[in-house]
Formats: sequence, structure tokens, C-alpha cells
Amino acid sequence: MQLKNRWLRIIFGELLLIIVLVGGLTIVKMIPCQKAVENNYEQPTFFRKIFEKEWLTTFKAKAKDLKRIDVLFKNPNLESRDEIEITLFDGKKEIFRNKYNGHNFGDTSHARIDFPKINDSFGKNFTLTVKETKMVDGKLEVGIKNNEINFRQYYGDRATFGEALKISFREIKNIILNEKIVLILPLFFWGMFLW
Amino acid sequence: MKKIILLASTVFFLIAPFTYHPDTKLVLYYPTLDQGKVVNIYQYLENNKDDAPKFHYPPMHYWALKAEWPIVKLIGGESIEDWLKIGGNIAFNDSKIYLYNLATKFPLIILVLASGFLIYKIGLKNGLTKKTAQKAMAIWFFNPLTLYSAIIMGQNDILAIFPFLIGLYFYNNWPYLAFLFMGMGGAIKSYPLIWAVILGLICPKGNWLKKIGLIGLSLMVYLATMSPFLEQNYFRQEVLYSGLSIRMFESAIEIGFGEKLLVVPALLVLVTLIAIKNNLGKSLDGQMLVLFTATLLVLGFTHFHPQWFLWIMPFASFILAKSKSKWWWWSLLLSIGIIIILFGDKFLYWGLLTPIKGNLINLPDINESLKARGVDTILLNNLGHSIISGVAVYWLWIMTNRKNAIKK
Repeated sequence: MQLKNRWLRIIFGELLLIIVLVGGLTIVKMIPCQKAVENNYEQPTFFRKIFEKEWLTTFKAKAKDLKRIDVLFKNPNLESRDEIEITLFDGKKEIFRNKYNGHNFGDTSHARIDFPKINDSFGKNFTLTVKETKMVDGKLEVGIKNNEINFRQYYGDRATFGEALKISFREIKNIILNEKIVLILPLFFWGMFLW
Repeated sequence: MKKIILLASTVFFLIAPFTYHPDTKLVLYYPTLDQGKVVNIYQYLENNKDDAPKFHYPPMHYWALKAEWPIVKLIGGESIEDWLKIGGNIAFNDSKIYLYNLATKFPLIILVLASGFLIYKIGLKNGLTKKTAQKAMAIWFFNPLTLYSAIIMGQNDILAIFPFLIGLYFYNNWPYLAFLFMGMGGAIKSYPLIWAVILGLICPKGNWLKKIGLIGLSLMVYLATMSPFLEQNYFRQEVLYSGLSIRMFESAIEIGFGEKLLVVPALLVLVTLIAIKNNLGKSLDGQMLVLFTATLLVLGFTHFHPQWFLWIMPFASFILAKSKSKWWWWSLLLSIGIIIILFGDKFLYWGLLTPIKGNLINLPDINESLKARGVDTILLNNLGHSIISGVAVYWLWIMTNRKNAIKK
């Protein structure tokens, strides 16, 4: 094979490999999943009896597409049968209200609160409340961090093809600038294969 | 042959940086302890408070990791040492994760490539055609189990498989050298000792004294590397009696009075006796058939980790290269696939791709999701396991009538 043709084959082959890589990254980045954020993540967790007061925490959503909140509870030795109510407000609009009793919680477990995805949640204020509606034994506890109810926020994470492609290109650029060997090795062996 | 190795290198180095499993990182954490000065890792972890789990592998495994470490550091840079200290469940969020993945897997990839080359050479040495030997090498490189276990997950079973394959290369001409290498494999992860014992017993050359001598040599290497630590109680507890070591003794049949028949050892005895009776040690085909069947029986009747199936591949590569009927292979892959997704460890599936998209780890646990939809996942998992056992028993049956095993 002529030398010129050989080099052309290698150049096109290497380009193809980069396209395959960008394509692979893009596909993975498009897989719909969710981002979890825990409020007061680095603070220690305490458990406080729910009957002591109505627990209320206001938080600002950190991203768009808020879709779920998990609130931490503790039912020591699974003994409590207290009845409680959890509510969530988007500003003044109620988006979730439900009643639970001790049966619903493990010794340490989360109450999962699902609601229709709020597309424009980023930067909005939400209010979460937990209050006891009927005290049976007064043993049920809620997780508290930094004097706020402890909960995890879940945001939808679904990139469009364009967004995913853009991020993938940015990552390849970052690899070329800072982690060259990550690309050099497969490109080198692929080039040798095509030679 | 060169082309296959180059293509494999391309595929491996393309996949490895973008996939992650916490185990690859964890094992390399140990050689960094106390600025890399720790010689007795068991004593160090016993006497010092460290968040890392205890080291359950034999001492030679630790020394192999220590030998890997300079290469890993050379590729990953100084900062990789700090990264190794981060918790495995969040380490994939690091901005240099692609580089670190490559660094931690680099020595393993080199060994996988070298093992493929050895498979080719073993094939040629034992009279296979060049084409068949190349096919065996290509199967070793590109089968889903090698790709999944060694390249995507970065499991270090290859550290033990590689010296064993060197031993296999010398098996016919230099048996003492062969069993020395097999012993070294066994000293890294114990299971090559099972292969060494079987190969010693079915060795076509020499009398029984020589056979026992060969097995003894492998066991000597194993014991010699262990001997400085055997007196320590913590070593015996963490290594010799660890859950991993005694797992193959757990499937048992009660025979009354508190006694049990241990299924796996019984099957291994059966395999060896059939192999001796049928003279299977005389040819590479026979040796591979015996080792493949024995390994599959161990896995089929033990609670395994899916990545351990790499163990069957050096032998399955030869069998698949010559076998036309492959239904057993596909049913094996299907069963392993079912077991992987039901394993209850997200790092066996979604988690592997977290370097590309970290939030994939928040996708639901497949086992839990199926359970929530009323699927009996335990039954499904048991079915997968039973298929693997069935395939293992099928190969045991094939062994008794070797002519049907591999159609030439």
C-alpha cells in the first residue's frame, strides 16, 4: 500500500476512534437519572422527638427538575406508633401532604416523598413541615442537622443530545489538555493497528 | 497475531479510563500506607486504626500490589495517592478520574495482554494450528468476561492467572519450573493451587512420587510466602479462615451426626479421577477440559462474585476456539448477566459508568426495583446459579466421554 494512502487511512481511522469515543460518552450522558443533594451534608445528625414542636424548614432548590425529597426518621426499636403528617409547599402552593404512622419507619429510615417534577424549581423556595397529628407513645423521631430537618433533594438529570454532546466535547478537550495519556494510548495502538 | 494484540490494546485502553469499580482503588490503597513502608500489612492494620477493610489476600498478593504501585504512580502522578484515600463511593467524582482509572488498571491491562500472548504460545507449543492458537488468544481478549472483569472492573485476578499461565507454558517440558510458577500464582490468590494439584495428579510424565513432588513444590511456594505470618492469629483469621477462602466448603449435604459431605471438594475429586482414568493430562485439549470443568464446578457450587468468572477464561478460550457447539457458552453468559444485575451492588452495573456520569449511581438498585414490582429475585438468582451448575455438570459428563467434548 502506498505510504500516502496508509497515512490517510490512519488519519481517518483516528478520527473515527474519537467520534466513537465522543458518541459513547454522549450516549451515557443522555441516560436519564437523578442528582441527589443532602441539606447540611457535612453537619452531624441528631434525632429529636417529633411531638416537641412542629418542625419546619425552608430551603432554596439548587437545580431545576426537583422531583423527590427523602426525609430522615428514626423509630427506636420499631416500637413507636405515633401518627405524623408531612407537607411540602412550593412557595405558598401545597404540592405534597401525607399522613404516616410509626409502622412506616424503620429504626433509621427515610420517608420518600414523590411529587410531579417541578421544571422551574431552580432558585425557588420550598417549605417542608413535619408535625405530630396523634401522639401514641411520643417515641418517633425526626433527623435534624444544623437545626433543620434532615432530608435529601432529588433533581431530574436528563441531558438533551445537544447538551450531552457539548459536555462530551468539553471532556475530550480537558483530556487533551490535562490527561493526554488517556487518549494517546488508544490512539497510538489504533494507529499501529491501521498501519 | 500482532494485529490482534494491537486491536486488543486499543479496545482495552479505550474502555479502561472511562469505567470504574471501587475495588481497583481499594487494593492499591494498601501499598501506600505509612508512605509505602509497611512490610507486614496484616500487623499494620491490626495495630493501626484505618478505615480500610482488613487485607484478606495472601502476602504475595500484597507484594504484587507493591510492585504495581510505582507504575500506577508514574501514570497517575503524585496526586493519585490522595485520591486513593477518598471513599470508594464518591471517588468517581474527581476531575482526574479518567487518568486515575487508567493508572490503576494499566498494570492489569499489560498482564491481560501478556496472558493472551501466553495462550497463543501455549497453543502453538501444544500442536494447535496458528489459526486456532490466534483464535484462542482473540477469544481471551474479546470475550465479555475478560472485558467485564479485568478491563471494565479492573479486578486483579489476573495477577494470579498470569503466573499460572507461565507455569502452563512450561508444563510439558519443564514441570518443576511450571509448578514453581503455579505455586506463585497460588500464593497470590489461592485458587490456582486447585489447578496445580489437579495438573500434578494428571501429569502424563513420571511416577507418583514425581507427581507428589510437583504438587509439593507448588504448595511449598505457597507455604513459604505465608510462613512468616502463620503464627499470627490475626493473619489466620483474616486470610486463611476468611469468608472468601472457605466459601467453597459451604455447599454441603448433611449425612447425620453433625457430619457433612462437602460438595465442591467431592466434585473436584471426581473430576481428577475421571481425568486420570481417561488420560486427559496427555494433551492440551484434555488439560483445558479438566481445568475448565473443575473451575466451573467450583463457581457453580459456590456463592461467587460475577467477576470471578475470569478464572474460567484461560481454559474456555481453548475450548471455544475448537468447539462448534456454543449453546453452553451463551447460557453461561446469560446466567452470569442475570446474577450481575441481581447482585445488589450498583457498582457491578450502573456504577461502572459513573466516571462519565456520576449521577448514574442514583439510579435504582435493579434487585430492589424488581422486588418492588413483585418479581421473586431470589428465585431468579437461584435459577441463574442453577444454570451455571447445570453447565458445569454437563462438562463433567463430557469429560467422561472426551471424544464428544471438542470436535476437531
